[in-house]
Amino acid sequence: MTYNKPLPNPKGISETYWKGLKEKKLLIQVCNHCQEQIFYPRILCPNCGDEDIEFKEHTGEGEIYSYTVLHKSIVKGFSEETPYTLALVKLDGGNAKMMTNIVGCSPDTVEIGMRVSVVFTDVTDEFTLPHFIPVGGQ
Amino acid sequence: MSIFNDVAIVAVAESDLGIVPHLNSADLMAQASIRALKEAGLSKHDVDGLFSTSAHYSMPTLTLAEYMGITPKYMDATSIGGSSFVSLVAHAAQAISNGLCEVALIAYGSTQRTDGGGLANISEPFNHEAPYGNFDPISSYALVAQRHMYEFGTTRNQLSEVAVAARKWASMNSKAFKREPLTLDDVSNSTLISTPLTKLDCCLITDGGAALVLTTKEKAKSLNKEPIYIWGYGESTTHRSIVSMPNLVETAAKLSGLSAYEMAGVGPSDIDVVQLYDAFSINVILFLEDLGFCPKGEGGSFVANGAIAPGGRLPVNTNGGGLSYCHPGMYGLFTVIEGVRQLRKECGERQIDNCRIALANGNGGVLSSQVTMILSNEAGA
Ligand SMILES: [Zn+2]
Repeated sequence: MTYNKPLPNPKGISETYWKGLKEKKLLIQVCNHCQEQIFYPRILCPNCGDEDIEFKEHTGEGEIYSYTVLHKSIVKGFSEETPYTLALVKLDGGNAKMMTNIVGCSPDTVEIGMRVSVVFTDVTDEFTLPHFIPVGGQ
Repeated sequence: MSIFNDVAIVAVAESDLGIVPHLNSADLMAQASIRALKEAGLSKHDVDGLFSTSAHYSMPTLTLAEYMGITPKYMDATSIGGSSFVSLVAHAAQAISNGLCEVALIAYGSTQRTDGGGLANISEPFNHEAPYGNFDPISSYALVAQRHMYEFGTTRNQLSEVAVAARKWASMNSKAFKREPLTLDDVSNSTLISTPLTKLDCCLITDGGAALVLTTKEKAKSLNKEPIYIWGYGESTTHRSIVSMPNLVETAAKLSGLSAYEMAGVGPSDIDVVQLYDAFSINVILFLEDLGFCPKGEGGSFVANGAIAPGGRLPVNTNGGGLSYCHPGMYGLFTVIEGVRQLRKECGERQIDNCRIALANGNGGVLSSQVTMILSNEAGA
């Protein structure tokens, strides 16, 4: 069955991030000057402005900063899969937040502050998405 | 001190609102423009500054100029989302005070209802959102509402209070799209879309247009309407995507509000009527906090028990807002229009007594850009 949900169209610096996912690595940029975590990938640190930043492999652990359960959706491929959980996960070790889906648990068990860790979902030959599951979860 | 003391708002108008299948977006812009110019006693031949932005036209001021047969000396098509039109009012005032034009027409039109009900949207897909099924924009606002409830104990009923208050005001506005009575339970129990937000937490999707005319304080003396003055102004942004919003429970309205209050030399307690861009119910709670009407986190309890409804402690969105009056995609100009009408004492049944100072706050993107304007029927000192 063909994958019919939206896919990224990475160009530029972000390509490194998406290639990392393909290799089951969550590559998050860190600023060597102020140590800020940077997400999404950029050519400078939006905190201090320094260009000395590099991709580092992240543990993939963090906590749910906020979430919403979609009971209706017009997004292609998702509209027939409601309810699903969309979340902002705050990664350990900095201030970076990323949008993701919380998978592997019922939407009604999701809570803000819940510890989660990354799972790599191969959705096409080209792309792997970073989804998150509850730590110690199902 | 206001930098806009030499300028006055001299006309405001809406186009036909609601469901207007026989007009396109440019027709609506032009219809609102003609109505506004007539209100002032001006014609299109007087206009030498044009201001617009659009999700329908890539070069909206050119579309407007061509359509109406206007050859402007100055144009601006700032694009910062739904707040753009509050920004354009200030940009027009600045152009007039600098002598770049004398009569500025700001016009908007959208057929987003007739076009199929979805929000007319020119947003580019975002690689770090789209693959996860982000239902833009409601899910971004839902993430904010959920976090606000978590941090401050804001309740489902408090969100509903915002929509119910808007409906009560709308019942006194003959131009409002939704006027039938609404209860807290109606809002809480309407179709759940993206938790905690239901269908009735979301703004309307309507057709509609709006226009506003500014000119010099001097020229305003010879025109039909009581001039309204811009005492204060501020704008800012904290992010484009919700992923990058630094703090989900604090918007750039804090910054834009501080700038506007400082320029105006007034504070929240001086404001008689408040017009906030209520794309979603949570917006009103956030903006009341960020604009200093209550401490951070207390927006939910502030709006409870009908406090922003008719007869409450603070009149908010007296036209019925984007939730009940109209929301043709970019609502910003409508906040200014209602502020102007309240200051001119033209609001009939919903008129606020002794209205001297109004605040309008535009919101753009996903709580991304905020633009605050303070208006008065007295000339600035
Ligand atoms: Zn840095």
